[in-house]
Amino acid sequence: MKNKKAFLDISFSWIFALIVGAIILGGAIYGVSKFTHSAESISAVKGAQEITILFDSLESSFELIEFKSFTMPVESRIYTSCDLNGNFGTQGIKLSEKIKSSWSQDTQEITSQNRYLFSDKISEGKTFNIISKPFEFPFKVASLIYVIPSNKGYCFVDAPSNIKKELNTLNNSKVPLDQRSIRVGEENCGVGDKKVCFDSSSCDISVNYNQNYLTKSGDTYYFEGDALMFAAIFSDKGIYDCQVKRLMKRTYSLVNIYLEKDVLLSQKGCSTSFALELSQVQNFADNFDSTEKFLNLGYILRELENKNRYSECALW
Amino acid sequence: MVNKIGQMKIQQMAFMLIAITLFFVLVGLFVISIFFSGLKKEVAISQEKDALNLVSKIANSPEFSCGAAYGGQKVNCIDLDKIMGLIKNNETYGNFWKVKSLEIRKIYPVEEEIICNSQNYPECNYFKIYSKGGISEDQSSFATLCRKEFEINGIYNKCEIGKILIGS
Repeated sequence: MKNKKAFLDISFSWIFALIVGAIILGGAIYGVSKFTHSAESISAVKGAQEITILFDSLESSFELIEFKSFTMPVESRIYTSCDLNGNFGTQGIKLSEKIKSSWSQDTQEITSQNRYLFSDKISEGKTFNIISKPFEFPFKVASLIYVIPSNKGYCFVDAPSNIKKELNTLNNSKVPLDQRSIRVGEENCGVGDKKVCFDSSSCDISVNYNQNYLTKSGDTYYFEGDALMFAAIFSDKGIYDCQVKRLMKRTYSLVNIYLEKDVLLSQKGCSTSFALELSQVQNFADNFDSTEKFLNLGYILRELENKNRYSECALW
Repeated sequence: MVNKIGQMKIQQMAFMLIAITLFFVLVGLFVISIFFSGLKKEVAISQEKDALNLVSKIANSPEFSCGAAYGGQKVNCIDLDKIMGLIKNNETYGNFWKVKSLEIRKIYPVEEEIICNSQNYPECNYFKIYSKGGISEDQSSFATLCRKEFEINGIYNKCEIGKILIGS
């Protein structure tokens, strides 16, 4: 009995100290973990913000095709999302960083209505290549941005001369050779590269350049112009379809501006009228629900392009 | 007597524990304030970079830029004939560029401010494209403002110097 009493004989001050000590320690651990978590999120948002600034600088460029590369401080994932709500739809970009073998979560998404990013839904790597190319329909609608992790290679085999020439200009960029994702010619293909063929169907990606479509992983992607062809090569089917629909929304609004300009110039005495063809393009953009519809539009676009090129009052 | 000493000890310990807690809280607050002051600076730098890019991006976007309509591609060249179309459709564009205000001013010759509309264009010098809750001119950039001009002898390109102003 005496022993039992001794066993329980812990002074109140000890119990008090233990309880309060545990509360302080618990609070400190909780605070530190919360702080670390928010620091990770801040770092990811900062990274995403830096990337978007880089995208903006590319979009202002007048180059036919431009190539840049950026390296993140740690292995990162770029999550791309696309939403069709509103007049122009929205593009979202979210960055997650690998910290101690796990990916940072709950990072804030940076959204934009005027950016068009073509990539896989999740692009993973430390160094990323970004290529920008204007999409013309036949007037410039937007600069498309393709994001490719440097650990993912694309090898273009038997590409038409204009494509080859354009891709070769990328080789003149300052990006180190081993970090480039694009290679031209079968002799330059790397191990693990995705082969993009223009005259064969036995490659990872088979492009039918004259018929404006390509096949990739069993899916068919229809395109109009080289910018969308590259977009189809480098991006996920869901992202591609959604971004093209967003581009058509912007086309619709741009046609309104060009129609107003056409009226203004006609009033001033410039007789060339683009109204009919512009309305056809606008009608196409308004009813656009599938990329397959591109197959029917080529003629009108060529007609409009030629009319503008040789007009005294060019609209664009 | 023993009880009183015990109570004293508990009081001492409680004060000590409160002091330790306060010390750690203060140290924590100090660390957080240092961290966030650095972050504030970075955010300001990032916003500045973003805004500078934004002015250039807007001036060269298809809704504004001259394209090849005035002979060759020009950087920071704004097509005023297109701007009149954009003003008519500005509701569609709403928050497209994520700016509070967007305007273009001719800066030479210096004249009384006349807001452009379809009746007075091109005899005006101030294009108010978009304004959400007042005008704030956070960022600006010089730009060439071009339009088609007509005379008896024919059509010619008229380009003037101006400024694009955005409030972000």
